[in-house]
Amino acid sequence: MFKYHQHITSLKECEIQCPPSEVFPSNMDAFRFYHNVSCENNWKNHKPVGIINPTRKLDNTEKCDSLAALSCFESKDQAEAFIRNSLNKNITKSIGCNLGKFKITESDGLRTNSDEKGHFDFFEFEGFDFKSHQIEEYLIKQCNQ
Amino acid sequence: MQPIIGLKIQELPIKGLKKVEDLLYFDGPLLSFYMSESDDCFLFYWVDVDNEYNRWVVFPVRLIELNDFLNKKISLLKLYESALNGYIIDIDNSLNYNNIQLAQLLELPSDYIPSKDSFFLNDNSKSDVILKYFSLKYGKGIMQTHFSDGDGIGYGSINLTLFSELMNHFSELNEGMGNSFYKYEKKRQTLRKRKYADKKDFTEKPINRIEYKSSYSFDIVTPLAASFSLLFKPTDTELNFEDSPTRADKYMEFFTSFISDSESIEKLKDYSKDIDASTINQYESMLDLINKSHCKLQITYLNTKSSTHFSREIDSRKAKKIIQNLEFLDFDNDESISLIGKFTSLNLKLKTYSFESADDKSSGDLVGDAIIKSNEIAFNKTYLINIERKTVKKASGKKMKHTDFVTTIEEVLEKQIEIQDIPTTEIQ
Repeated sequence: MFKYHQHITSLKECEIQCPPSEVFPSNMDAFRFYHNVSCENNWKNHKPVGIINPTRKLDNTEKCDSLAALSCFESKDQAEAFIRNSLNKNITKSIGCNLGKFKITESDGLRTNSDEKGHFDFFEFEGFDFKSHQIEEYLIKQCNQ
Repeated sequence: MQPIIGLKIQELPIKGLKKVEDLLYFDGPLLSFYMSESDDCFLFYWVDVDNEYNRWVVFPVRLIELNDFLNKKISLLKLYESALNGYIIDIDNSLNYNNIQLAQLLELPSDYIPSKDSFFLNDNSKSDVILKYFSLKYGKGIMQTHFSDGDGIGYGSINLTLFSELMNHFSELNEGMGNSFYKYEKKRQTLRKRKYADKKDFTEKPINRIEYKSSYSFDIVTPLAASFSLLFKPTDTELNFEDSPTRADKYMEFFTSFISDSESIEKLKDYSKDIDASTINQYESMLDLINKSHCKLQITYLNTKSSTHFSREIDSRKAKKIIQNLEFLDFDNDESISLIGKFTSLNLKLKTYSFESADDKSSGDLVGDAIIKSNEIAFNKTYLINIERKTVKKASGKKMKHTDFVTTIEEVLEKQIEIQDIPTTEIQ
């Protein structure tokens, strides 16, 4: 069962396919951003953005990725490139100043295919916690937090 | 949140904002394209967050500059500089707009101003943004012909000779495909009608020639850079409903399916009964030009309301392959043509003729009423003739062979010519 199965059920009631049909299990190292543990925003860490208050949104369209998935990258370089190329100077205030490397296995959840920038969505299974699967930590230089 | 030097206002003075597309998205929108009820364009640019609000800068943008930005020709900073002023809005979780201020964009805190190298990263999924805008604006589908690569095509420019030849073939191909689409739909309706034992139960509106013509008749909306595009809208005024395809949507499906199916000789054979030989000739000429000029043509159609989207691309390699397929195709096609012009020769004994109109020539046999009327023909007079044209092309031969039979002849007075439209090819 998925960790955010209640959201998934409510999306399905609105005829929104969640997770998307092409998700698959994978053994890999995933990279994602989070807020420093000493920062007041650390309560936001490793939660789908749709359930964080205030959510960065402009309309009430419910989206599967924002309510039930976490954004990850396939490599450290791709994650760093995302920050480096971002047009929003304060992006780290929204997604966190730290980058972590996390070990995920087939029993931890399902992932989508990655896009050309290495980004994919990860749908955690119940009981999985990113914090306890962290194997490395990097500080993003451009941090404005 | 950083303090803003601006003019506080009660509400955002832009009416009827609706989202066209999120241009940048990561865990929620970061840069979004909106249009107002008066079709003006705005960008929502995310700049900050605290425990209560997300802060956005909303500023006007010219569509031509937005297109340049999406094509990495200008930076987001340049869009800021062009806009001069914008609105700073703090949006809470319930989507309420708070602390609205009008401010000079370049006077905002430095981390709210994009950097000099704030170029949009190439992202193919955003290539239809401008189409989407026009589809929302006109409430109908928009077709794009996009020419790229090849000699004589640059960013927003194209060699006039190449362009006029390509568009001429494309226009003729579109006209022919439209006629075929009408024939195809009419045939399908007849089959549906036959299923009803009692014809009274068949309540479908008869397929109307004029209505169908407007589904494949297009007006130019605008040229567009990257590399060179033209956007068109169908002249059809049919009401557009959500998730329900319009006649123009169905036509574009027919048209784009033919293009992709022509890459396979097996699938192409299925079209030989529905598409007339002259249309195939135009298609072949267009493909030949694409091949020789090494350019690429992409045809895209998008209707946001009915959620219809088709896109097909023909490059030099594909063009060559399709031409080969067309050469292996057998054609056995009948069509009715009307021409206005003059007879150039007549043999009453053999019952043969030659005839020339402003844009076509015909020679063949006189049949039926035309034989009786042929005794009265004068070479200095103008006539409207109806021709049954049989076109045959065998796979072994490259050339199409026409056989024409004139069925009716009617004299046209000079005064009538001035006011009478030259009839187009009629569908059997």
